[in-house]
Order: sequence, then structure tokens, then C-alpha cells
Amino acid sequence: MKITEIIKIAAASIKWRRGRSLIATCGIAIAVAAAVAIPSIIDSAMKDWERLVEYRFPNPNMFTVALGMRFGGSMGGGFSFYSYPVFTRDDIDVIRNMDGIKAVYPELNAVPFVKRDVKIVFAPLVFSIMPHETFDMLIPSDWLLKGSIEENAVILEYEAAIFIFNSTDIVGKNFTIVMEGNEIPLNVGAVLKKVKPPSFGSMSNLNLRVYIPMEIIPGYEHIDAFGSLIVVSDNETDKARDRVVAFLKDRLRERKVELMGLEVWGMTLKDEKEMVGSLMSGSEGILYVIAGFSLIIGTVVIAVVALSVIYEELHGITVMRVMGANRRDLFLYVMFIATWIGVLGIIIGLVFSLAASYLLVTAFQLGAFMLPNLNRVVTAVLLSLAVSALAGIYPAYRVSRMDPAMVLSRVE
Amino acid sequence: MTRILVKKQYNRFPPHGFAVNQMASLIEMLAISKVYGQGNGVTKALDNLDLTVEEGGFIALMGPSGSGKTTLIHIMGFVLKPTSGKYLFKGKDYGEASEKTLLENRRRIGFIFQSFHLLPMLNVRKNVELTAMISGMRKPEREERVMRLIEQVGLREKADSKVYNLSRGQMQRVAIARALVNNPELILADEPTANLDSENRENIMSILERLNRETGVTIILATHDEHVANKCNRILYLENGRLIREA
Repeated sequence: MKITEIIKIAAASIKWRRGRSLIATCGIAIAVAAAVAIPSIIDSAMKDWERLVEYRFPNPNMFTVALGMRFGGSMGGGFSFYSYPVFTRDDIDVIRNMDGIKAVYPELNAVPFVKRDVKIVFAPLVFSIMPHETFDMLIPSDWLLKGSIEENAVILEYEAAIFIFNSTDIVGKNFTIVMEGNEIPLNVGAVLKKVKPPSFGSMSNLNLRVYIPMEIIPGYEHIDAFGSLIVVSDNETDKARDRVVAFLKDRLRERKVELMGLEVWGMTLKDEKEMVGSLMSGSEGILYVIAGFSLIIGTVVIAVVALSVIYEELHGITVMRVMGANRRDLFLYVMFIATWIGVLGIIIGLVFSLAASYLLVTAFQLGAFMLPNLNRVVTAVLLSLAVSALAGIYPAYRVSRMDPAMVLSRVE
Repeated sequence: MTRILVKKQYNRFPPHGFAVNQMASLIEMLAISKVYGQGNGVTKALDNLDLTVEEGGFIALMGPSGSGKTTLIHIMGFVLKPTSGKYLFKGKDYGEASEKTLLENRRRIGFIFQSFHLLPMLNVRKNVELTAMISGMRKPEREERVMRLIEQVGLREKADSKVYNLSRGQMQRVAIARALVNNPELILADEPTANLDSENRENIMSILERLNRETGVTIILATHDEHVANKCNRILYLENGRLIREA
């Protein structure tokens, strides 16, 4: 028989027993989805996370210190699990004078997001509170600084500049915001260009970030304690982090601060990247288990479907053999049934995985949607095809070795 | 008596209805035995059976269950090899033939079964076409042949119906069309009317009679039914693997 004819009959057989075929197809589809879609969702989130980390650590010698587990600092708006204001101005002064420490900047985590009644209409606007001098250090080299920084000068990110002034040629222009009832005149010191801040979930409003000097925040002088610190060290960042963390632990112990089971943490760029990496590899491991499990289910169901083909179509297969179908024809017939199921499962799995990952990524703002990694898609497709073929081999072999006389005597 | 065999020149798949005037031996069986099993479990299905079947014959095999009818049909149809003896098909001995040769020879034979053995997921047309696909007949030729045969068995209206929607009699007619699609030299039918009511039995037998009469194809059928056997030109009675009587 021609291969195309065998394929057509195999397709008709799958359609005929569509219930079981669908179950087997689902097994493969789940495996493909697990192997392709979920990692792709995590990839999207992780890539965005990595970009966020890079964004928040524009200086590789920078690290953040906080109480309890936390991610990042004010550069990215940060999201702290715990950030009780326990570090004092005295602590900061001591750290500033430590060997290898270049600068320390407190973060006002108590007022990271300010509700305001603004004269210029843009809301919600996120303010990240930062002293002037951090700009030189924290702004990546490709960020373009224009003009001089004057009193009450602020730095607007590109999108914020466009949003407020509909232009980026705004250095030196004045505008006013109203915050906590106070009118604060501001001057545009610089516009940050070529920046593509990440859109990590709720952090997507980073696009409208305006950096303003801490000193102009009303009541700043009355703040005595800070929840987290941004520290810039020399090249030996790990050692500097350890020294700062040890010092702060001692200070808190001396002051008998109730830490409620928390500890002082220091987090460098390297630490965060390692954490992201371990989360990625951990989640990948789980996903491979899911994918493997689904593939096993898919294999078993395909094998069952292929075996059921033998028993349900015994009459037909027998007559094909009696009428002169050779072993190759019958072997291929069952193999095509198995691989058809695999191919259908792969197609459904890929379509489903793309749709699901797109919907999940956009619905939960897990970052920019990323197409699945091609290597992973190819691996999943090849593996699923191999599994389908493997599941079909035994039933196909059984059929091809069938003695027609024996089967006729059994079924007649 | 001298018999003159007249055949048209035909290619591998001649148009339906080649002319056979009369009659050379199609099948010769000499001292054919078939033994199943080993040791104490040995069953002798055929025992030193001698038989000659001439071309164009319409023959009934009768006998009780276990008399060897089906085994004999399977050997004639190259489905089984005899344990011993000579099996000559058109003068050529196939007693020691290879699996491949048997397979190729099976394509020269049309089979009709008691249980029809149709593929449920295919329609009437595709079921009939399947045999021609297996033997490698070209598509335009086989499609034309298939439709003509479906018409001949009276199922033109059902050509695109799935076979599970047919009555048992209609299913057997599909099986007959399928058996004929390769223009076989021999049709072997194992209890072709056993699962049918009397009306369908008559229909099937009249189709087979007409085929034999009009095309000269040799038909051998196994049956328990005296009425069916009486429609044939020759009745062979088997018992314990031996031919005991001929009518």
C-alpha cells in the first residue's frame, strides 16, 4: 500500500475512536504545554525580573540592606517583604565612614508612593525619593543627562517627560506638584533617555518615575529611622555587604530592637541574580517532572489506544492481512495511528501553550509576553513524537506478526 | 475430455468479467494433511486429502464442525500451509512456498467471511477499495472498478455510508464486492450466509451464482446449509479431515 493511503486509513481510525484518541491526545498536549508553555511564562516573568534587577542595580558595586527577606531598593521602587524603619541616621553615618564604603542612601519606605493633588495632571505618579548626588552613581552611562542640576531639580524618566510635557527637550523647565498639601516647585534637571524600564506586574508604573531630592520632601528632617539602605562600595562588594550586615546586627542587638524573628539582610546584584537563577532552575525542575509525568500518561494511553485498535479492528486488520497486506503495511498502519495522536497532541499542546501563556502573562502582568524558547519547543516536539512512536511500536509489532489463520479461527 | 481454455489478454487487473470458456484444473491437492498442535495435543484437521477443482467451478464444502472445511479453505487461499502433501494452484506447487509468495498469491483470491470483516471506520466505497489499495491498483482504475462492483451488488445508494449503518445482508454484499475488486481467479467463502436471514441468504447466493455464471470465476464456499449447497454445481462432503462423498 502507498504510505499516503495508510496514513488516511489511520486518520479514519483515530476519528472513529475519537474518545480514546482525545484522551491520548490530551496526555501529549499536557506534556507539550508543560514543557513549553509554563517555562515560557516563567521565562517571561524571569526575564522581566532579571531586567528589573539590572534596573535596580545600575551599579554592580551597589547592595541593599533591609530587615527580613526583601528584593531591591528604591531604584526600582523595590518590593520589600519586611522593611521596618530600624536603621538610624547614626547607623548611616558609621557605615558611610567604613572602609570600602563610598556612599549610603536611606530609603523612605514609609512614603514610597504618594497620593497627590497635582496641578499638572498626571496620576498616579510614583516618586522615588533620592538625594541629588545619587544620580551620578546610579544612573547608567547610557542614560543621557542634560543641563545642570539646580535647586529643587528633579530627573524625569523619558516616559514621564513625554507624559507631562509631551517633549523631552525640557531641561530647566519648572513645574509644581502638590504633596501633602504643600506646593513644591520643581525644576527639570535631566531627562533619562534610552531607558526601557521593566513592566514587572504592579511595578509597571515605573515608566512614570520621577526622581526628586529627598531634602525637598516636607518633614524629611524629622525622619530618624529608615527601613532600608542603599550602599555603594568599592569593588569588593561581598565583603562590604558582610561588614555592613554584621555591624547593623550588632547595633540592633545593642539597642535591643525587637526583630520579630527577622534578620538583617544584605543583597548584592550577584545575590539577586543567583536567587533568580535558583528560582528558575527550581521551577524548571518541577516543570520537567510535570512534563515527564504527562508524557508517561500520554505514552500509556497511546499504547492502550493502539492496542485497542488491534482488538477492535481485529476483523479488519485480519482481512487486510488475508487480502495480501504485508507486515510493513500493518506495522505502519498502527504506527501512524500512534504518531497521528502524537502530532495532534503536539499541535493542540503548542496552540494551547501559546494562548495560555499569552493570557496568563498579560492578565497577571508577568512581564512582556515571550515566545517559547525554540530549543525547548523543538525538544518537546521531538520528545513527544518519539514517545508516540515508542507507544506504537509494540502494538504495531504485534499486528505485523499476527498469523492470519490463527486470528481468523479466533474471530470467526 | 479435452478442455479448451480461452482467455482474453489482460493486464494485471483485467476489466471485470474475463471470459473463461472451459476448464483446466485451478487447484490440485494431493495427499494434503494439516496437523495442529504438538505431542498429545495434536489435532489432524486434514488427513491425506486429494481434491481437484476446475476453473469456473461453483463448489460447496459441507460437513460437521471440525470436519476441516475452514482449514481446507485457508490452505486453498494461501492463508495456511499444509503440513504435508502437494498444493498446486494453476499447476504450480505452493507446498513449500515462502511467506512472501503466499502473500502475493492471496492477492489473486477473493475472500468472503461469515463475519464480513469490514473496517467500521470506512465507508462502503473505501472498504471495497481497500483490497485494491493493498494490491497496488492505480487509483483511477480502482475507483471505476469499485463503483461498478458496488452497483453490481446493489449498493450504489449506500456507497458513501459507513458500513456500521448497513444491514447484515448489505454488509455481506460489500464483502462480496471487496472480494471481487482484484478480479480474482478464485473466491473462497467461509459460511457466507451463516449470519443472514433467509431473504438475505437468497440474495447473496443469487449474486454468487450470477458471478460464477457470468464471469466464470471459481467459487468455493463452506456451508452447513443444505439449501445453500444445493445452489452449487458440486458438493464435497468432509468428515474428520477426509473427503467422504461428492455430489
